[in-house]
This record gives sequence, structure tokens and C-alpha cells, in this order.
Amino acid sequence: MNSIAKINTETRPKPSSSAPSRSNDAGFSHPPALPIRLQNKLAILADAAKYDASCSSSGSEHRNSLNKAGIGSSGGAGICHSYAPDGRCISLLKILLTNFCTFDCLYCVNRVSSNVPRARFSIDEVIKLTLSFYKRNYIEGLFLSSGIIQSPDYTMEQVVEVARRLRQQHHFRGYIHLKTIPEASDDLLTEAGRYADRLSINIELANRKSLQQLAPQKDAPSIRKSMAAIRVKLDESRDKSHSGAAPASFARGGQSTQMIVGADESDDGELLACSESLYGSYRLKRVFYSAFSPIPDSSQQLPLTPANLNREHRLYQADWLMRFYDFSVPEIVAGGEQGMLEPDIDPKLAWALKHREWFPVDVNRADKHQLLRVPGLGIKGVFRILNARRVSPVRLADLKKMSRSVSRMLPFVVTADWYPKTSPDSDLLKQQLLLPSAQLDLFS
Amino acid sequence: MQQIQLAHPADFDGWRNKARALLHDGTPPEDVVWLAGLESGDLFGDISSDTPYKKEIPTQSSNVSRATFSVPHDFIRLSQYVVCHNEPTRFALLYRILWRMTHGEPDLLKNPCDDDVHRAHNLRRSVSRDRHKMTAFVRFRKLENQAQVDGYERTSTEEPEQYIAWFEPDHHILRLTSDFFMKRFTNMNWSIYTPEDSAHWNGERIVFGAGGAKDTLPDAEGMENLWCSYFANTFNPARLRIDAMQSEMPVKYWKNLPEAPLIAELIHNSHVRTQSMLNREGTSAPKFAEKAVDRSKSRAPLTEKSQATSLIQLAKQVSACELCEHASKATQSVFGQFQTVRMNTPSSRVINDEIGTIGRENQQNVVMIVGEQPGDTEDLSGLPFQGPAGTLLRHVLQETAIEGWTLYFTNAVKHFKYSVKGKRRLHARPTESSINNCRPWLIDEIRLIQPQRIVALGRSAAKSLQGYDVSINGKRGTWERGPFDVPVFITNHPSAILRTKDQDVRKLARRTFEQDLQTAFVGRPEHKVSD
Repeated sequence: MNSIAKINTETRPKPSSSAPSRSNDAGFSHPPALPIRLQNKLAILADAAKYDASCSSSGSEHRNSLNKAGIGSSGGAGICHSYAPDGRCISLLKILLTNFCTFDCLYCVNRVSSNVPRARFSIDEVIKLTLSFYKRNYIEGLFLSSGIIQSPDYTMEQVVEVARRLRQQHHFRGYIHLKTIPEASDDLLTEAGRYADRLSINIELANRKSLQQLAPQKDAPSIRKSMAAIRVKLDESRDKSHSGAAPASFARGGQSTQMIVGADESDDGELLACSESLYGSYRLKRVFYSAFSPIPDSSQQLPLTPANLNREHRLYQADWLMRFYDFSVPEIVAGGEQGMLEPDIDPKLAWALKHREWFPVDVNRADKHQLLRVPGLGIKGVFRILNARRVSPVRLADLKKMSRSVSRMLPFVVTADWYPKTSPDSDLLKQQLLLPSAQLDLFS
Repeated sequence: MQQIQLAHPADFDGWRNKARALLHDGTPPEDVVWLAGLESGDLFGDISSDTPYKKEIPTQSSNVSRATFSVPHDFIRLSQYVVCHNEPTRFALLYRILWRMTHGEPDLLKNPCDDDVHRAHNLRRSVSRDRHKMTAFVRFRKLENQAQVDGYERTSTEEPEQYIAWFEPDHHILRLTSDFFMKRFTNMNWSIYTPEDSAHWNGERIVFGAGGAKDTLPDAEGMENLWCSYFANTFNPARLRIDAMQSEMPVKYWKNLPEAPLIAELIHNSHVRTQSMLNREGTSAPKFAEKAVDRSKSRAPLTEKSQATSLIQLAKQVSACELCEHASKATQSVFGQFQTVRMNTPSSRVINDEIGTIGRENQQNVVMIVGEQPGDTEDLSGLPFQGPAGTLLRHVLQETAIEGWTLYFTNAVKHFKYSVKGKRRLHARPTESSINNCRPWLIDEIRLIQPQRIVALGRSAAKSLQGYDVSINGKRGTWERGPFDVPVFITNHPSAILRTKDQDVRKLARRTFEQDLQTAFVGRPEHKVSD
């Protein structure tokens, strides 16, 4: 019979027919059965870890195993080894060491007051799973987090020990992302950074009062203090000037965090302002936005709502504008209404529609900053244009070779052979842009 | 018309050697026909050639003419990818670009709108994507006779483990990609079969051989079960986005992914699972919850509003203060810090920073030094006067006759206020209301410490200590009456010196600052208070 036991972490067990099963039509023979205990644990602890959006494996140092003992390589762009039907990349083995937790964060499926099944991996089990998956090229490495058990230091010790053994005993050179626990001691943080490529602490909610309400045991100041401590260590590890010798390496892939979207009343402006302050203060590589999503066992005090994936998407777009397109938070937020981003169109287009005086931009004359503001034109496209126009004036046909979204640009750009005849009415223009087809016809 | 025969479909070295020779002979692109291994029918002319990996970069063959032309390195990178494409005209395209670059268009590659360049970049992109997807979607299976019953690998390494994979790329990318697997799985023996060719690594060298078929693969092993279990459980049914999955993991790859057969059912059940989560009533906590929470409740409640009776209590109150809007964007409040002075040698003073704050209320002979507000460095470390201005202040203090005094460093405003510019935090001047909000904390510090004298650095400090706005230009170098009648000496903030661009003016400002501190420590307070 099928041996993929999908553990139902939804509270009441359902008949096994709802469990995903392996069919034979893909040409796979039925594999031999495995100890069900480990499989159950994996099911529970993967399920418990999936609300962390980050699965990135990029941006760390270049390593490989040529002429060395051990296994693994990393560096440059990350690799997504699979994609789940939720569209999220599966790059790392993302699991909790245990989903027992003494905290009672209302939005979290692993809160102490939740009735989900609990499990705990041994350190060896995590190591063996990681190596076995890695050798089959299923993953880039490990993303290990944990519920808080006994004490922050005890929990952190366990997490760090997994990483230590992977690196020192097994010479594992794949990617390791460790979730750090805000209240854990400074020594443990230093050790975590020695083995991990990335460290992260979740800010959870942009608003301190919300955090106090929904996660009474979490302490916003100590979250920020931990991020500050990581940043100081990151700075130290990159500072060669002192003695000339390279300092001990520390989390080469930097630090990241996650913000829950839609569990409290905070508007987009508040979330983005919080992100801006985090990027500026702690040199974060990324802020991940995670739409508050239904969980199998909810608290009576925090009713569930369907995940607002569109809002999450717009926040990511705004985040990009802030980091790579010279947009300030107030500019981005002003594109929408009352602190919320426009849901139907991307924030760059929203801004452009409210700033028609900026357009059309002449792609043959405009500077980089102006080009970056053109809807539909990305950073690569801007650099291609800057290169191309040195050779000869850019025409519409050239633009099509340099960008895949020319139709979206048309109302906003001038080329050697194109001048938009668009309506000055922004609402009308927005309606026209929202029509997916026949855009070229509309503007010519 | 010359016909050029290459050894295999992605024969970059062969193409390069021939292209050099053709270029040397002045053969124009339209006079050449390129045939790669596949087109010639002689698929694996080089089956026996095994290349040790240490000689990955081939040396120039001797039969190639020493033509004197050079091409940008970018072109080599581009060609290495383009030759792997399955487009039959790829070699001709590359030779045409090479010809044009060496015949009057040296900067051709810099024009992304040129048709040939644009075409070549498109081919490169497809190959690059195919290569990336291969590094992602190759799935190894361990040879059965080695797998242990429990599905675990053995940890000892008596003999290397043997892994086999089957992959169907769009382009001729096996050689291009095998480098990746070699560097990652160096200590495993592995083989990757594609329909066209195969690569075999034995820990020392890589050998390319004939293609295989899917049944070359060993039977599924137990670890695939665990992987599928992971795949099913890391999926969140409440956020179904099939389009996003398929754009990154196109269906054409699914047939060789052990987890792919699960997808249909996961999608099918997701709606019901989500609805049942949404419809379910919130649950009440299980029995163990209360106990577990109790055990973790070590944190004391935050604020007591009563007047602090110790510095540690005061520091706690300050850290919980959220009167200013900017407090929540700061890492932490920066409280004051005691430092003692000792003479290292008769001529050099050391400001010792190991004394801390806690339980130090009873220091004698304290001079309190009050700055404006913490900066970037102070905000991260939680200690006052750590940044550039603090460093300058400490330098000047070491040159000042401060022995006999205990120093207490603190700020008028306790939370860092800033604006973000790019990835930097820029100091923002504290507002009137911030200074007023923080004033009670400073007064309490003075009440608990009872310093002999206070040095106010800059306008914000003076304003907070005096309770009204003070002109530094007017009051610099003078003694004023402070809270609890403690004499306050007013001088510049050291950052004012750092901001001075003109070297001479700066030197002068520093000298004045040195003299001021000398007066503050050595001089006799002459404020308008009855002695």
C-alpha cells in the first residue's frame, strides 16, 4: 500500500483517504517502508516550520568540496530544488527541532495553548536527514528553528549543536540558516554565527503594542537588541583593518527577519516604515512578509481570516522599490490611499499615475534615477538602455529587445520613434492599463 | 565553402580552435558550415577521453595558429553557454559575432540591440536557465545494495557511496553543469545519465559517456518517502498559488521528480483543508499549557511608575519609556555609565570602562558629562559616547587633569532618533518635546548620583539641564546653576568640532574644547549660588 503517511496536523484526524498518496503512473516502483516514527516526526516538524517564509540560500561565501573531506558547496545565487503548490520555493530542509513551546503567541500554530501533535527531533536525526537529503540533491541545506523549551539558552544550545556537528564532524559545506532566540546569551549568538550562513530573528509584528497583545512573552526591545548584536558582529567580522588578519567568519549570508501581515490592524505604511528602520539599523539582507494564514488550531482570541496573498505581494514590490529603486516609504505609501498600497496595481505604477508630471520620460536622455521610476522598467532594463543609447538612439523595436514589459511602459516613455498619446486622466489610464490585452492598440 | 566538424554538440574548445584558424585564414562567416557531433551522426567520438578535473581549462593546442587578435572575456563566457544550446545555427552565430568584432566592430557586445548580440544573449539565457534547473532538479538515488534497511547512510567512509541520477535537459548542458556536481558531491561516486550522454565521477576524475534511458536508474529508495513527506507537509494549503509553482518548476520536469506525483492531490485537497481550518472554532488550551507558561514566566512586569530608588530601577523605567514616537524605532534606550580614571604611567591616564552602572550610586567626586542623544554606535551597543564624537571626547579627557574624579557619561535624550538614507541611519536632532520627555530621567539620574559638577555638552544638554533654551555661543565656558543646585559647566558638543570642515578652525575649536574641559574639572565653579 502507499507508504507516504501524511500526518494530519489538523486537530481531528481524518480518514486516510485525504492523505496524499504516491501513484504508480510516474514510473516509480513502491519504495521500501521506513521507520514510521521518523516520518511522523518529519511530518509534524515540517508542518510546524512552514509559516516561516524565508527559504533563501543565496548570498553566502563561495565554498566547495574539491580536495577536501566532507560534502557540499555554496555561493552565489541560491537554488530552489522544488516548489510546493503554494508557489513557495523549497531550497532548504526547513524544520523545527521541536514544536513544543512555552510561549503563547496567538498567531502561531505552535503556541503552548495549541492542540497540535507535538514532536521533537534528536540532534542526530536532524543531521542524518540533512545529509541524506543533501546527498540526493533535494536541498541546499538546513533551516533550523525551534519552539522555546526549558530556557532560551537551552533551546539555542540545541540548535547551535546541530550546526556545529554538521560543520565540524561532517564537514558539511551546504547552507545553514539558524533562527536565533532573542533572549539567548551573546556567546551562543557568536557560536551560531560561526557555523551558520544566515541568522534570523522574527520581528513578527511591526507594531509594539500588537506584539504585546498577541505575543505577551515576546519582548520587542530584546528582538531589536539581538538584531543589533548580530549587526555589530557582522561589522566586526568584515573589518580587516584592525590587525590585517581576517577576523573569524560570522554569518556570511547576513541576517533577515519576518513580519506577519494582517494579524493586527497595522497598515502598509507602518509595516514599510518598520522595514525601512530595520534595513537601515541592522543591515538586514531581507525582510520577509508573511500573510497571516489559517492554521490548523486557532486561538479563540484571534479569529482566522483567509491569507491576503495580494497584500503580501504588494508589500514585496514596495520593499523592492525601497531597496533598489530609490523610493522613499512616504512616496510609496502616497501611491495608495490611507496608508494602504493600491491592491489592483503595483506600487510603482500607482506612484506614476499620481505623478503624471514626471512623464513621459525620454529613454534617450533621462538619467538612471528617472529611468528607474518608469513602470515596467526594471534595473537590468535600465542598464541595458544606458548601454544601448551610447551606440545609437533607442527606438521602440530596440526597447522590445531590452525589456519584456514594453507595453506597460508605453504611456510613460518617449523613444526616437514613439511619443505616447495618452489621456491626461489618470483614472482612465489606470482602467486601460488594467485591461490585460490589446494594450499596444490602446496607446498607438 | 568550408565544412567544419566538431567533436560533440557542445564542443566549445573545438569551436574555438577552428574559429581561430578560420579567422587567421580570413574565411568570412558566410563561407563556413558548422557541424557538431549530433548533426554528423558520429555522436561520441570522444567516449574514451577522460579528463582529470584538474585540467578543466584546456591548454591551447599546438596546431592552432598564433593569430594576433583578442576578444573580450565576456565573449568567451557568452560562447561557453551559447555552444550548449540546441539551436543548429549557434556555432555560425558565434563565428559571425567573432568576425564582426575583429573586423571593425570591437565594441559589438556592448550593444544589446544588435540582432546577433540580442540573439546570442537569448540563447545564453535559455542555456543558463536550463543549467540552473538541472542543478535544482537532478535527483540522485543511492544504489540499492548500499542503502541500509533503516534508510540512513552509514557515517563511516570505508567505500564511497554510489549515486545515480537521470535527467532530461533541453540543451547540451551536461558538461557545462557537471562541474557543479563535482564540486558539491566530491566525495561521492555519482553518475548522471541524460538521453544524449552521461557523466561519471569517481572522486578523482570525470568521464563522459553514452546516453542512457530512464531505466538506468536503480529502484526508488526509502529516503524518497521521507522527502515526499517533507514536501507534502511544508506545503501550506491556505495559500495555493499553482501559477507561481509552475512558472518556476515547469511541468516538463515533473516526470523525473519523486515529489511531483503528490502535487495533484495536494491541490485537490487544499480548498477543503483551508475551509475546515477557517470554519473550526478556536480551541481552548490543553492541560499542560498553563503549567508550561507558569514555568516560563520569569520576566518581571515592566513599568513601575513610582520614583526610582536605585539606578538599576531607573534604567529599567527608562528602557520601558515610549513617550517619544522615535523610541520604538530605536534598538534600546542608552542609559548613563560610570567610568573611573586611573594613571597608567605618571603621564598617561586610562579611562576604565569596567565599572558599569549597577549599584554605583555612592560614588564620590562624580563629574557628570551630559551629551545630546545616542548615535548609531551607541544605539547598537547600548553604551553612551561610543561613536566618533565619544572617541574624540575620551581623547581630550585623557589629556585633561581628571584624576581624582569619577566620570558619569549620559545623554539628555535616551533613545536614538534618526532618518534612513539608503542603508545608513542619519542622526536627527532631538525635538523640544523629546528633550522634555526625557528631562525627568536626567533629573532622576542627578538626584540618585549627586554629582559634584556637571558638564553640559552642546545645546540640547544645556537646555535639558537648565530647563530653557540656551545659546551655546553666549554661555560657552560659563558655570550655571543646575538641578539641585549642582554647578553646570557649558561647552560645545565634540561633534561640533568633527563637523568643522576648515582645518585651522577645527584645530582652534579643539583647543578651546580642551581648555573648557580643563576649566570644568580643575576650575572652581563660579555660579550664582551662595557657597
